Order: sequence, then C-alpha cells, then structure tokens
Amino acid sequence: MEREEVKKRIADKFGSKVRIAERSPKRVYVYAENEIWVELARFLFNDLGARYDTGCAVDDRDGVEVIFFFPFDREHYFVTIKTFAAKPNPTLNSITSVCPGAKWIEREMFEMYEVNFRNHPDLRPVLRADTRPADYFAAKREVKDEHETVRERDDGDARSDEVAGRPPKGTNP
Amino acid sequence: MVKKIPIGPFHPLLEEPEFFELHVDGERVVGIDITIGWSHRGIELLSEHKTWDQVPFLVERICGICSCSHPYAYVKAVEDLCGIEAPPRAQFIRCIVAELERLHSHLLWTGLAGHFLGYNTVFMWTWRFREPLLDVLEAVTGNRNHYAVMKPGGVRRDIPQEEIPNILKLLDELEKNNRMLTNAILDDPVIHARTKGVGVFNKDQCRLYGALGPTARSAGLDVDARRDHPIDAYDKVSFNVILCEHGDVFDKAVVRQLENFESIKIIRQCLRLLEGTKPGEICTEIHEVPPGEGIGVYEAPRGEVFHYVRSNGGNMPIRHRVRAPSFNNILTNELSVLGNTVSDAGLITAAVDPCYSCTERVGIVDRASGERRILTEADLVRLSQEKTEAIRKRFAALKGNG
Amino acid sequence: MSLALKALKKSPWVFHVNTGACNNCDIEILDCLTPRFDVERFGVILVGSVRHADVLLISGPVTQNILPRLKRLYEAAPRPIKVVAIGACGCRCGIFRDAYNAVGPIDKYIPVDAYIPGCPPKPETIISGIVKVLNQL
Repeated sequence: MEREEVKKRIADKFGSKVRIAERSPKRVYVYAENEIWVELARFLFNDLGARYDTGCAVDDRDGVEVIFFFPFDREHYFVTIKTFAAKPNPTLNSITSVCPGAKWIEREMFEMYEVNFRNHPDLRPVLRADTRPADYFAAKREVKDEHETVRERDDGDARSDEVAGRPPKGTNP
Repeated sequence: MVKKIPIGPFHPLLEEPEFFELHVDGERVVGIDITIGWSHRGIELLSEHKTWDQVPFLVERICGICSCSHPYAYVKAVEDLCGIEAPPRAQFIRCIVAELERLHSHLLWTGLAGHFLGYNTVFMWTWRFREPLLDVLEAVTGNRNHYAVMKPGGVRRDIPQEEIPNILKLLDELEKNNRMLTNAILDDPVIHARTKGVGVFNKDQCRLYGALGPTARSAGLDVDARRDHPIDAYDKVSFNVILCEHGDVFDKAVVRQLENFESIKIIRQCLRLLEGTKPGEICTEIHEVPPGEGIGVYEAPRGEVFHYVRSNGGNMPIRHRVRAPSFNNILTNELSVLGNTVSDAGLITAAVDPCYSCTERVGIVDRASGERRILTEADLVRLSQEKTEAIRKRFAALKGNG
Repeated sequence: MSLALKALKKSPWVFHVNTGACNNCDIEILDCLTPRFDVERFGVILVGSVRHADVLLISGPVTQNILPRLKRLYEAAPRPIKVVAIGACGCRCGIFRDAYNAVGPIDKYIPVDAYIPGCPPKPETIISGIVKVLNQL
C-alpha cells in the first residue's frame, strides 16, 4: 500500500491518539498512545499488510520508549510505531496476539528495561535466564565509573524531542 | 507419555551454543522449549561507548560467518541518519564483498548439512571450494574472515586492479563447482528421503513469525531486502529472488544453492560497473552526525539484518539496536520440529542456518522409569548418519529387486 | 617418554568448545580438517565428546551463561588434558573486554597451556599452536 494512503488511513482511524511524521520518503514514524498500541499493530499487520520486522526499547528518564518496525516491502519504506511506557513500572499490552514473532523481543524488553507486557504468553527473561541475580534490576542501575560521564552528558539531551525521535508538537499531516 | 530431551548447549551442526528441550512422545517430537543467550555479550551496550567509526569493528564480531553483514547494515543506518550516500565505487566494492561473503556462507552451510546427513564428501568438497574464495577475500580485504571493509560513508580499502582478473577466474570455477553440487543434491534420492517433508514451516507461519531469508523464501514468502529495500548497487544490478513452496529442509537447501548462482551474477555485474568509476574515490567524509535516528537493513546470507541507531549529535550512538535474522528464524523451530523424529530434530534446527548452534549432549529422561540416557554430539550425528545409511540400503535393495 | 604419552603425541584427539564466540575461530578450526590443511593426516581428529579428548580447544570470551558449563566440562575431561585458548577473545576477551556479560578470559577459570591469538587465527597458526602444545609433552 502506498505511503500517503497508509498515513491517511492511520490518521483517519486513530485520530488524535497518534501523531504521524515523515522523515524521508522511506521512513514514516507514528507516535501512539498506550491504549491503542495493539490496535495499531493489528491495523498495520492485518489490515494494511505490513510485515512484522522487530522491536526496540530505548531507556529514558521518565519511562521506556517502545518501538516496533513494520516495513512495506513492495513500496520500499518502513513504518515505525512508537509509544512511551511511563516509569515506575512501565507496562504495555503485548502485541504477540497479532504477531507471535514478537515473543522474544518483548521478553528481552522485559529483561533489560523492566517493561511489563500484559497478555504475553510466557514473560520471562530470554538472554540471561539462569545466571541473573535476584536483585538484577536494582543492580543494573549502578553504572560503572568511567561510563558515568557519558550518562550525565546525555541527560539533558535525552529529553529533547528531536533526540528522542519525537516530532515537534503540533505536526500531524 | 511425554519424555523431555535436552539438546545443548554445545549443536552438532555448527559451533555456537543453543539449548533446546525436546518433548518427545515415542519417537515423535510434540513440543520444544528453546533457551538462547549463551553468546549474549552485551554488544548493544558496548556500542554506546564506541565512536561512530569504531562500531563497525565491534559489530563485525557479532558473527564471524556473516561478518560483513552487520557492519554493512550499521553503516547504512548511519548514512540514513546523516542523509548521505557513499560514492559509486564504494557502493560496488561493498556489494562485491557482501556477495562473496554470501557465497562463502552458503557453501559452509551446505558442507555442514552434508556432514550431518552422513555425506562427508560434501563437507570436504564444499569447504575445499571455499578456500580459493577465502584467498581472494584475503587478497582484496586483508583477512579471510573479518574483512573490516565497511566504514560510514564508504569503504576503507579500494580493490586493487590486479585482483579483478583473479576474482573473475574464481567466479568461473565456483559456478562450475556449484552447478555440480546443485545437481548432486537435486538428484540424490537419499537426500530427498531425508529432507523432503521434514521440518515444514509454511508461508503463513513465516509471516506471523517474521521469518526471514532462505527460511522464509523456502516457504514461498517473498522477502528479500536486496530487492525490497535496495541499498547501494543492488538497484543497479539485476538478479532473481529464489522462491520455493514447501518450506521443508530440502527447499531450504535448494534456495541456498540457487542463490549462489545469483550472487555470482551480481558480482560479475558489479565488477563491470566498477570499471566506469574512478579508483580512489571510496568514501564520503562525514564531519558530523546530526541528532535523529536511522534504520539500516541488508540481506545477510541468513536473512535480513536490521540495525537502528539513534544519535543526539554526539560522537557516539546513544542507542544501537541490532537484530540478526536468526533472532526471528530460530523461534520458527517452535513449530517446525513438531511431528518429526529425534534424529531429524538436529537437522531441522540447523536448517534455518542459525548464527549460533551447538549441542554437546542429548539427555533422554524416561519419566516413568526414571532411567536417564545421555547421548553425546557424536551419538546424535551418528543417529542421523545411520538413518541416512538405512535409507540408502533400502533404496539399493529396491533397485536390486526392480 | 612413557608409552601412553607417545601414543598421545602421535594422534591427539581434539574437543572444541565455544564459550560465546562469534564463530569465526570455530570455522577456522573446522577448516583445519578440510583438504587444504588436512590435519587428519597427522592423526588429529575432532571428537564429539569431551571424555575422548586429549586437547581442549576453547574459543570465546566466556559469557556468564556458559561459565558453569565450561567448568563442568573441564572437570569431565580425562587427564592428561591440554587446554588451548584460541583467538583474541579466548586469550584476552578481545573487543568484548568491557562487556557486562563476558566474564572471561578463559585462564581466569581454568588453566590454559597455550594461547593462539588472532581474530581469527589462520588455520596454519592453529596447527602450529597445537604442534607446540604437543611438543610440551
């Protein structure tokens, strides 16, 4: 399906719950509210015919940004959907009911970023299962000394919209 | 009565560790539990502490077999972020090295699959065909395996003019050898018996699981990042995307064999196009990486490699997501081993060409009696080879009678 | 030299372990078996079980997950056993030195008799390294 039509159909269906930005002819970004997360994935995967590719999580001070990528292969572009799971206890609905292939990446996001996915069939750590200490998440917050300066430098910038990949307020074609 | 058989973490059919627990009822597999993470080294975190041009050296070492795939996808992500393109000569050089790597990877897999099936000559011959290929790669890039060719903006080394006739000669040899190999595989009735109908994963399942590469194409799912998200020279050359329909182990082998011919075609076209470019113009300088995000995809031998980088304008990425195709493909084993026998299970899990696999021991626990049998890697390979031998004898007997 | 050691030196059986490496060292090890290098003519074969091994070839920077299994493997190996660490990751963790999950190098946990550096070491280097180990006997 062509890019312009995809953007229009998403905007029509979800209205104010999404913000759509286009960085280049090959990259469309959709920022969604938590409550329509699974509906958006279902709309893209089932109704519009996108392919499920993978997901990513980015740690921010106030929460975890969860990202999934749905390419449209015939038309050579990627649709990236993003949502923000607020801390403490970031929680989000799992999209495994739509794309079973997302099982492992959601487990990885749970393991590394503490994001709790509701309705995930088997939410347990995937990469460091049997060697994690009991206080794994608490231990993860301690940063090694030589890396501390890098984190501090990032702090101010991490909040800015451009860095976080969010469009400036008020843009929705 | 369901027994549980652990396989792992050290696969008979390649070197990296995975752990499977097969749930077995009699001889048939009824369930599987996959544990990964044995090779988890924390590369995404390491990337955040390396500068933009140090990262290719790191990501190269994610996997040694597809060692130019990860740097290629990464540099494309950075170039997507910066909005630049590499100069034409660099684009052709990248494609040439990448396709040479695809050849080496597919030949490697064919050899190992042959060994597992009991065809040790296939193993020895394919790996012998690989050697001149690795020599050419060494002459062109400096190393047999970790090529260190990719760099954001271009390539690090030019192809020496005197190497080009050697590459062409190699391609002629490889084409001849690959044809011989393909015919041998397509004609052998024992291989048909061992691999047809085994480990089926159909097109709809591929789509739901996001399967990629030969695993998906063997089932008829038409995904190929070289054609769908063309980068560099891939939209300037013509090649076919190989599709089969059954999604079993045989089709996976056929897809890989036929893709070798396509790779040879691409390299020849790139070498011709290279002649029209000026030697030495191999890099577009990047002075600054702006804030934003970039996506880079490349079709590695195993499937689409996906890299995502995010920048805040500094000299290091603040987030680097690496998704190897095996992350999607290995999960497909969840369904493709069901209904098959234990002696086929190892072959099925290897047919997706996982970028990590290694079993050392197979333990069979009989829950009812509590008896525990341990099979070693040698036993598992022997089981598989014995099955092939039995089929061979049966065919010979049929031929004798008929 | 005792008869056992003489027999050992004639045809060492090698067991290969990957503790989380990228696979490159491992395919170079397998390459040694192939017709160009053909270590089998020297009697070196790759065995499928550690209980038959004379030489342990270990690659990789020892990830946390693999560590208990590596230790168990070393304990299960019959004596005398020679341990060879292969590759930059095996010798010194290589580029994964600062990784949180790579807790190596190998000689932190088990005694290593020989180091074969390289990323990856070429098959000629690997063969030369194994020969040196055998000459130590």
